[in-house]
Amino acid sequence: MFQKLLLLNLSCVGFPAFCMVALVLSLNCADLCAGVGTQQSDEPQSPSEKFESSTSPFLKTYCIDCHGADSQESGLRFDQIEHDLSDSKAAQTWSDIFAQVQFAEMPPSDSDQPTAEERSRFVESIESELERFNAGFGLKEKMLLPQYGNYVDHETLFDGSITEMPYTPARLWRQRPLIYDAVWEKAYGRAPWYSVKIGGTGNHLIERGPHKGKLLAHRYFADAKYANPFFEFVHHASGFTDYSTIVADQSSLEALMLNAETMAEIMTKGQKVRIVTQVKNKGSRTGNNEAMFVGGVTTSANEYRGRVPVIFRKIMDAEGSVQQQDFREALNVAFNLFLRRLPAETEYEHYWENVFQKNSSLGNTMALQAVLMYVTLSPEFVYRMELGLGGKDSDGRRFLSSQELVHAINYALHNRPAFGIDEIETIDVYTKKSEAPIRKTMSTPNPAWAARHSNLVEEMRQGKLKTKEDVERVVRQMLDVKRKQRSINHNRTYLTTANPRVIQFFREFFGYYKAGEVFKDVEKFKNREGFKHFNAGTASKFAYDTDSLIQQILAEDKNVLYELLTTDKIVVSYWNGSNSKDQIKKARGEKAYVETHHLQGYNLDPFEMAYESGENGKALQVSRDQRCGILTQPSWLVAHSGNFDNDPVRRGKWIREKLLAGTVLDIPVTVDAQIPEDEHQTLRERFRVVNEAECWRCHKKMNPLGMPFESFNHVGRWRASEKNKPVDVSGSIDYSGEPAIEGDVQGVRELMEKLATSDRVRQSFIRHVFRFWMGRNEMLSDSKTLIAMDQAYVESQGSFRELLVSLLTSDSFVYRK
Amino acid sequence: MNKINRRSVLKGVTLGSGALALSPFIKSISAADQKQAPKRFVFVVKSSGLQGDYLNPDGLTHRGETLVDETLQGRKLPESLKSLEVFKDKLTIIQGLSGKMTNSGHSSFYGALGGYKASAHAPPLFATIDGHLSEKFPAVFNHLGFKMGEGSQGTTFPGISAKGKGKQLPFQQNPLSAFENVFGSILEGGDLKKKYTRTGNVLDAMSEDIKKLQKNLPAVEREKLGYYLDGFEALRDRRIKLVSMQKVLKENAPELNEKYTSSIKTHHLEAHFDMASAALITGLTNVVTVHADDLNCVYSGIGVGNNVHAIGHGAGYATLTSQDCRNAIRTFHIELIASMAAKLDKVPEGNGTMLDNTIIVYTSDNAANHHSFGLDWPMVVLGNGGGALKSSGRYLSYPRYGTPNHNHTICNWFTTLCHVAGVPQDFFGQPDMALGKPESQYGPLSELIA
Repeated sequence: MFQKLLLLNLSCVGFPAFCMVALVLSLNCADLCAGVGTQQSDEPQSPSEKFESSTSPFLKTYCIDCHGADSQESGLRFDQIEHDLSDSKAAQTWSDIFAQVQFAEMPPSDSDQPTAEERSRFVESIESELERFNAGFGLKEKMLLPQYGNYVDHETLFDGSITEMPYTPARLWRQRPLIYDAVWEKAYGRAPWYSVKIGGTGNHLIERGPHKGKLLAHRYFADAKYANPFFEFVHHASGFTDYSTIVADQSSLEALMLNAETMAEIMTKGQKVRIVTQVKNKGSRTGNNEAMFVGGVTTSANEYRGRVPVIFRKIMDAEGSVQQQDFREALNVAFNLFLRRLPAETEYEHYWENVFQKNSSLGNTMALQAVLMYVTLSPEFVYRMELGLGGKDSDGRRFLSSQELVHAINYALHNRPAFGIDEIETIDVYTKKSEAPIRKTMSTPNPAWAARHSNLVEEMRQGKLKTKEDVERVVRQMLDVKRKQRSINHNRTYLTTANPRVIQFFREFFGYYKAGEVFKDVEKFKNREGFKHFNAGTASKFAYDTDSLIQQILAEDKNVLYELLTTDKIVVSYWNGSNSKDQIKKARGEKAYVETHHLQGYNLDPFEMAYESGENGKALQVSRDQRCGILTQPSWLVAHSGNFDNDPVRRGKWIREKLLAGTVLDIPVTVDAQIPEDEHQTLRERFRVVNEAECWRCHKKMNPLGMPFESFNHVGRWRASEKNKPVDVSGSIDYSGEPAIEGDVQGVRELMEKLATSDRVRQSFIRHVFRFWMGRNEMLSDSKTLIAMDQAYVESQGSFRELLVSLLTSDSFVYRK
Repeated sequence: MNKINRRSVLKGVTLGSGALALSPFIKSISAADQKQAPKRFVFVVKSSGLQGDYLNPDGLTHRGETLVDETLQGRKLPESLKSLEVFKDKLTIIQGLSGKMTNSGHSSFYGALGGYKASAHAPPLFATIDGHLSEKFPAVFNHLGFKMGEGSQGTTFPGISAKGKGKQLPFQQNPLSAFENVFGSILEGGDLKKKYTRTGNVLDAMSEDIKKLQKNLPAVEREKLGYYLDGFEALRDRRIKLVSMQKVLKENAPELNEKYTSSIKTHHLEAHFDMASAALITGLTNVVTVHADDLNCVYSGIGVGNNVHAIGHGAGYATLTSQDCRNAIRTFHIELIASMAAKLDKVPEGNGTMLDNTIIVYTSDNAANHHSFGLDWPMVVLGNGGGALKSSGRYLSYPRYGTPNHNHTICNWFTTLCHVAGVPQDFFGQPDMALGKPESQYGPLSELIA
């Protein structure tokens, strides 16, 4: 089965099948697993002894001074530590050591520090010994999670000391929910109903039958109704929604199964449409609303519409047993529809014997439906396989095959499959001779599932997608696609942009799109001075504003990160620059219009503002002292606020983790993270409780970075005072890993200007770009890739496009091991 | 609905044909049955808070500084609990439990039944109490979840129940597809039966395929695919078990009526309760969670045409005030619970009835208010789990949060349920650090342990 699944698109590529099989057979398990060498010694050691000898040097060098015979700080002594972890007390002690060293809390910052490698070797020894007694942390698995990404040592990643050639481990990657939607929603995920009204108004005169001479009006609805099986897990610390560690489980399967059953019906019988026909009993009243039809006759019936492949119909209509040749043709269609390739020879046999014939006693239709369901439950439909089926290099890395490249490049920038559906001969299932408008609606010239191949597939078929140069060429082509730049709103979301995954990255990196998820008491805002502009839809509109602003910055493509962090421009998606009389009247006067206007979110008056038109769209120039980049967009501020207050801790944590590649431990279970309520104190004053030593140990990494944002209220409006006192906007940058930017700051502008010019911040940003597009955390072996990305960005004067090209042509992207 | 004795039915099944392959499962159930009937748990979880002020019997109040422990006998139940009057001797009203360890706001999500911080978009940290108990009392469906919602979706994931870390439990939303999923094996003839067989065949073949594929993958990826494989095996096992239970299912499955296809969502909730009762009676499951509504639900079937969220924010409907609407919704839920209890009470089991071994907990996913801080989390509890829960009609109000004697959280209540279920553990969920050291919060609510 493994071999079969790896034979992707043989027919498309034109590779001789036997070459592929030979390659697959050579990929045995040992090749795929990263082999770990074991050291041989003359005298066999027990595992506990090995553990002792591997951990003692570290303890001696870094710990014993304070936790040894002479001194036992915190009552801990390690020179006589127990190494037999079957003793639960010893296991607990080692667990504690593990956590302290792993999360760099120990050795203390003022003493000698181990190298990153020493540290990681030490904690790995502890981890594996703890695992042996089932007391481990699952460190390896944990380190794959996005929220642990920053634990990979930053300096080592960028100092050029790593010589290992980059690669990505061979992997399965669960399809994204958006990809599933793209395949499923339009064709199989809709619940249609059709309303026909006779005897009211309408533009069709009925030609025959009992209602001849009456008018007919109709309306067709098809709402998306299905459960996406691929539930997203977004970790608060990472924000990235798609990581290759995410699995499909029973919950996914139950949804897939349900959807597969619906699809099998649609592909064999057509889409069921509920037609509700309402007939007026008297033609004396006009109008089509429900009230006009009271007393009339309502009937409903189910009809089918859509296109069914001819070969399916042939199989369903066959009396008795089905010809194997017909089955092969049907399987081609099923694969074409969902896996977008032709089956391999072994797959024809497998599906014929184990799926079709096994169900043939239920009838040919059921057996065919079983085949269709089977395809959409198969691991290949659920998981994208990135195993590296191209050539192997001297470092033991395997290049992605052409088909793998098509998937990898396409899904880097898009959310729909690259492979389309080759033409399938179909027939229309609706054949009734009904009234013309009904026949027109119910008959289907084109199947709902039709999909074109992308340009990438064409390149692959012409054999032009094999080398890194090829990858660079196609990536540049894709990034060059220009569409008319228009601001983003609910009708025209980021998904409609040329390469939607680009803005998606910024949405997930900054997290501002979650503004709408933060509960705000909008009912109370209606009567509250300075909050009247904020209604139920405002937070989402703020997010569209930010989408649009980012789109403009990317179109300029100069010093992108600097601009993102410091721009004094804003874009307002829902204001075209004019103040129409109608709108003013609707708002009941100019005063109310101004007070409730969306621009109030930015402390602006619509009568005083005018757009500046640039090459890449319209923007508003605002006060440099008030707005400074994405972090001062109301969307970001609201997304990182509480229900009733600002949240300087989350804001500071965001900067620490996203911009400084720093780490903050999760709230320890011994902490009740509450700040006291006090209506007379400012938030900063109420936060004094965390200045206690125990709290400050972690909060010092967050609060000084988050406090400058106190110059905004919790709905993102700039303010000069709080509780009738001038706002204290002081803060500081500390423990950043870059002394040049450290020190006190007064206000957001100073904070952001410092951060925006920092090497550390740029590199932290680049690490997050890597994570988003690779779907995994960086490993030390990705160092060369990251350094090249950094160089590409700096040398191109901050071009995000060049940064992306560098990543998508890197070894990390194209090699598997 | 026929009255049946579950033990005899199961005996009948073991004697029946085709039961050979299933004997371990049947044995385990009948063995447990002979020793002791399984404990059953039903959690009915509403959204928008369960208001404690409307749960106090005449003359009793909560939020005091000391424990109030009174019998319900001789007391007039509050208006919305009227339909439980007949079960007064099995009723326990608990007030004053806190749940500050959860994330509050509009919903505590997994926290409401798990006693920990959770959100809509993050995977659950641990099992919730229903998921935990469902693993302890396995059945064909270890856990069944029903949820009133928009109705078109078959399976949905409201983020309320989990059987372990990262393992959210599915809920059935559309009643018709719920019927197919739960009682599908008894459908006779026609396409529905064939469909059921077809799906079974697909499950069989696919799990073999996945195993073969796994052998050729690196360890991490093998494990990743393992989660998917587990799904197939779980579904396949379930179907095998269902076949063995056709007789009992046929006798007890609810009647498929217009409630199942109604456009009025409250009819769906009624159907959910019917199916939940039947599933318990037939032994299809021992643990059910009904997530009665969410903030978008409209109770038009009981004359409340505004959605739960709007009502929570003070909107009324027609001549009803917001509070009238809340009262109507609560009363409706309690009536459904009462009718479920009545059904269980008709089925003899051991020396009593099935209800004797069942505990129904009515609570909210968001403590006592529409916007909650988790200070006060009422529980209305029907049944005493075969006497393990010390109550023969009791009102308990713990000292309010913030007073010196308050040391009673929803986690203590969940721990109590573990004890009552006969699977005691020190603690369930996460402690509330503001109340002191974790150890000081261990243990069940001692007043309720028999």
